[in-house]
Amino acid sequence: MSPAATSVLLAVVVALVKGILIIFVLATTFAYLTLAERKISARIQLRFGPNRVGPFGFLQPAADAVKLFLKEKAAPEGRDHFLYLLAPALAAAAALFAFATIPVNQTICIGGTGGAGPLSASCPGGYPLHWDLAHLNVGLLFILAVTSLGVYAIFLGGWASNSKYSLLGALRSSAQLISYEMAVSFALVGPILLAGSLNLEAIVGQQHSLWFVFLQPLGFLLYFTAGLAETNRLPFDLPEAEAELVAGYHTEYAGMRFGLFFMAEYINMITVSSIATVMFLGGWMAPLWFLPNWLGPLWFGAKVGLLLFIMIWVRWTFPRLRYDRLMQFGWKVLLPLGLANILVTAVFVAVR
Amino acid sequence: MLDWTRMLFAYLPLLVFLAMVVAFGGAMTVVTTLLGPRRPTRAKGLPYECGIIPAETARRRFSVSFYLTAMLFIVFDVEAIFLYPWAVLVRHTLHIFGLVEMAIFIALLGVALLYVWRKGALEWN
Amino acid sequence: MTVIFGLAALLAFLGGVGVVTSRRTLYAALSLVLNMVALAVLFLLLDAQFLAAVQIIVYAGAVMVLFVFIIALLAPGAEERVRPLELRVLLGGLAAVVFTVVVGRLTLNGITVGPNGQLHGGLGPFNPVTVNAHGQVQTLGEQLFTTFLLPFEVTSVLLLVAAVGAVYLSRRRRPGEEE
Repeated sequence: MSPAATSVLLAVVVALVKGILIIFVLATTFAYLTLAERKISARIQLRFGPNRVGPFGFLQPAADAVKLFLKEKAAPEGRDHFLYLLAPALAAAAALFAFATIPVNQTICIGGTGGAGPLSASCPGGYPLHWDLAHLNVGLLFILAVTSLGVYAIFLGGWASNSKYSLLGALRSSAQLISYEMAVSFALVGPILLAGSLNLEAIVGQQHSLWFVFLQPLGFLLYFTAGLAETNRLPFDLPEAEAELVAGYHTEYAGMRFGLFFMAEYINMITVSSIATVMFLGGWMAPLWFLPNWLGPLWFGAKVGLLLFIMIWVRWTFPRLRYDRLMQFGWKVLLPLGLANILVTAVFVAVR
Repeated sequence: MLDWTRMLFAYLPLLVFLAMVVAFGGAMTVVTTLLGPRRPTRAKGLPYECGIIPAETARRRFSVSFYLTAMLFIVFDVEAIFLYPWAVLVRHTLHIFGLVEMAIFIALLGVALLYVWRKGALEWN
Repeated sequence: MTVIFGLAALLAFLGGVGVVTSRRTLYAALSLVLNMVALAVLFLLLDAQFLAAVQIIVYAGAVMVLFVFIIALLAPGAEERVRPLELRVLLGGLAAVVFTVVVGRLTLNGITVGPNGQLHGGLGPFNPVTVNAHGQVQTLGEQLFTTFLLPFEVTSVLLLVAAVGAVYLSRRRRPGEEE
């Protein structure tokens, strides 16, 4: 085989392995995140939570999955069958795909002369092992682009169901998603100003002395708040406010078709937490100076886990907003604050 | 003149992963459709409406606020897109010059936001 | 690379055909989304990462969301009313001819045909090598925020006008008020 063909084959194999890893890790995390949510909510409400299937309920997610697969797939009349089936698959696929450019560790040079380091992109003579699936210079924009398409899954799912609850839920959800997507875009400009790059690995590398959360506390808060809304979490879970809308856009979905929507939501939570970790919490960097940096993926996972815990905690602590308040909060509070944050940050970056 | 190898290594993994996630979504949809009992009844097929038989199609006009939100979203989304290349450049290239020009840009968009706000377009009722 | 180009071009073409031939307007709009995403892939193949991202974020993720909102909800039943076929074909054909001439003229600008039929383009100051050495977003941003400063600032006025227009379009008409 020619060297060119070999390197292409190698790239494909590496991508396949990384892809399987990402899907496996995200799916497993999703499964145990649902269990964690039920356990934590139970503790907050002084209950036990699921504890029957396996020790401490550890096999509960597996039981849930089997149940979802084996349920009867009731589907509403008058639905648009193609879009009805497309929507959940699209939701799950987009949620998984968005993770492609998130680096969980710094690039490691295998066999070459270049040393491992946050910014060492070159690795002469060796194989640079990137800890993201696709190493793009505009990694952040890639994620924003993919997540901006997620709105179609939700809208089409609700629309195709031909149910009033679904449609109203879908409409609310899409309007909320696009509004808070804007807040997300503005909140993320702060770290970019500080780092001067859109490359996620470079952005983490810039935080080796000081995490951006300390320079951008407002930006972090804005991002995390908007992220909660982007993932339809309480207190922003109006799209599926069960007291008003039954279950929102996925009211008419049963079995794993619903499961795919559910999965997409939880994976989006993981993605939002991961982006927050990369942009504000120093990515794979050790949280304390005396801890070893080579445990990168572990620190990354711990930070993401902490943010996920906070998301669950918030859900079982705060009441739901009213829909008009929710939209006003996005446009009248998060948006102006985001713009102000950008200007103030820019003043410091430009004058320095 | 394009650097094929570099591009290949940047985008080929994305293509592979795209195929994987599409296959994943498709497989889950197919498998779940094949499994499970299938006993459709007239009532089971009705869209859920708290037990009442749906009177009309669900697809109908909705509050104008939704469309307005979508329109305003486009305006501010375009603004956000301009912010990204600018944010990359302020620190090393544009400095104060960049600050001033973006301040003017944001100020005008601020006027837009203020106008929309004062006109009550951000109210939902 | 050629295979990927062929696939993306085919998808873009199918999307375009779908826009024109779909009987249901929502499917036509979704075909347009497909077309836009395929175009973004074509941009990627030209190594224009930023443009590809913008194409998806702004066009597929924002403009078409509005289209889909409106088509799906504003006018159920209005899908049947379309203009006579002959007029549409005539106007569409005219637009296609004009578009082809303009784009073809721009594309062939400065391109010479080699002895074996291969095309040679003149390399300007912004060619793939210089742009990638400097960084794509950096090059684009520097041009946008220095050389094209005035158009950039005028864009904000345009966006302001758009916001005013959006509010005007959606305001409630009181009874007795003129259309």
